[in-house]
Amino acid sequence: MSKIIKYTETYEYISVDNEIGTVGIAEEASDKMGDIYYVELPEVGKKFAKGDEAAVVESAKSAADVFCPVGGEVIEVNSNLESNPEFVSKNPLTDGWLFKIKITEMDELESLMDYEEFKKHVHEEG
Amino acid sequence: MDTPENKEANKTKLYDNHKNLGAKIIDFSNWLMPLNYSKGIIQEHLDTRKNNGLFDISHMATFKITGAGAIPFLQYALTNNSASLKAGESQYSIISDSHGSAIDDVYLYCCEKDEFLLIANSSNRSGDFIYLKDVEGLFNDVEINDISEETSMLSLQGPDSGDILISLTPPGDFPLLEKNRFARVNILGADAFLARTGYTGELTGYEIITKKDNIFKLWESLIEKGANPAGLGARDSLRLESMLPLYGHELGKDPDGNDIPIFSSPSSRIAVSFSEDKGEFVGKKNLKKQYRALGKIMKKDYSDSEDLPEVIIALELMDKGIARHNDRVFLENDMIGYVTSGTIVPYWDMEIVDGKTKLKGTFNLRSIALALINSDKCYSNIVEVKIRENKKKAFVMPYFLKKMSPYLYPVTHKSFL
Repeated sequence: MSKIIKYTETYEYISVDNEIGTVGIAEEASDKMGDIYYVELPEVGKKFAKGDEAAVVESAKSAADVFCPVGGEVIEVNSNLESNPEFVSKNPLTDGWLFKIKITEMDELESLMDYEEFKKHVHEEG
Repeated sequence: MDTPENKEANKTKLYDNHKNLGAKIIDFSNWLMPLNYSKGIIQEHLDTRKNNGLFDISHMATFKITGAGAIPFLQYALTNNSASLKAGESQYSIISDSHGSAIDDVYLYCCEKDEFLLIANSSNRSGDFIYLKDVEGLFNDVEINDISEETSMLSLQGPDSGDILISLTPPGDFPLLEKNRFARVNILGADAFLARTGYTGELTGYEIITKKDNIFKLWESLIEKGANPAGLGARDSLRLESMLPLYGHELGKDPDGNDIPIFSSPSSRIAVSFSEDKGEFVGKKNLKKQYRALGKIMKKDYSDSEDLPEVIIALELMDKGIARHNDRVFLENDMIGYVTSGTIVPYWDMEIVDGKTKLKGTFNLRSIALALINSDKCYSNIVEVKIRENKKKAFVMPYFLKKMSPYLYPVTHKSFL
């Protein structure tokens, strides 16, 4: 089964492979925030509902919450970001992922946007 | 997120130039201004410290004060000794309220004996003007006018800034200006005020005031000669790294709505004069109390600290994280104050060769802040900043930069351990 990537209205992405979701922030978010210089990640084992504050990314100018796109339990965090937080903005879909969850609410993926819809959302927000 | 384009807001003449340079535009007190260009805040900060940074500061308020009564008026309305200025000199000053808290911080330029320019924060433009007009009524033969709409203003800061400006002035015409001096010059055939002033802490830096129509050619030519456009993001991180106060953060009101005393902030203290020839001025009585309390606090005597309950200190975070405005500061388990400004700033790695600073070519990042804390805790070595749920250790710094040349020398907390 090929990976699918879904997006939230608050600019998170979740890349789904079976029941494992990898969460990061979309490139379009870093366009708005500027480069990321600090990341606060959740603890492994922590359970989140859809929309819970799960992580924080900070640019030179501001801090932004990262919301969990769907319900799940954190199974891994990207500890490389501690020394290379800029990956979050530079390579959001590869080295810049934030954390992985075991998705417990698979049906919540339905409510998220695919890339075409997300692009439209970004455009409308300006 | 804000969509500034949809609101009715002010734009400087250079708005389209900023957009064309890839600027991220923000709404800054109802002005659409560049936060940063495509290089980003960190690089623009580094560029300014190494070479130069070019800032459009045309949003700032410009008032013209004229008449034989100008000096008595300024002596009363501002905290510094305006009468000490000769033509071609400028000074940092403050508009104090009667409690000794800032209505605004300003720069005063003496053009002639009875002609002054006052540059103020854009966010306070209408408030300042209404207030100053009121005070004007108490004096004879003085007139204050808001000429902000007629002028544009650029700031070129950093070690190369003089060389760039020399290349735009007729040979031999570039004035040798000491700090806080200014002159009328001919730049690219247009009349301009060139002042050796700025708000980045750089040893060399200039501000240029000219008529609005001259600004395009000046901006384009400066960039052609190697000036690096820098936005308000870098302007803020540069002033913070130099521990310069910003109205609404280190000056004005604290988050609880209480007055911040003017003497809380190290750089504001130099803006207050109790000189004999100044006489009576707004806030004098309370400023004098603050001054006395500060003198005692510096000797670790806190008996008068009700007159100066809080002072600004500088912090460098020892733990990872970025302190932000309003984060609470703790000593052991007691809350002792809060962060007034905080961000992450870059600094060049340097060595000192023959008494001169030399760049190694690499840079680092550090998280720094200014905080308003209870006066009796200002000699703490290490405090904690509560960032979201976690307390992070922070080192109390005497300064972040040493005034060395040609580059300001960064000092980190590790050098004090």
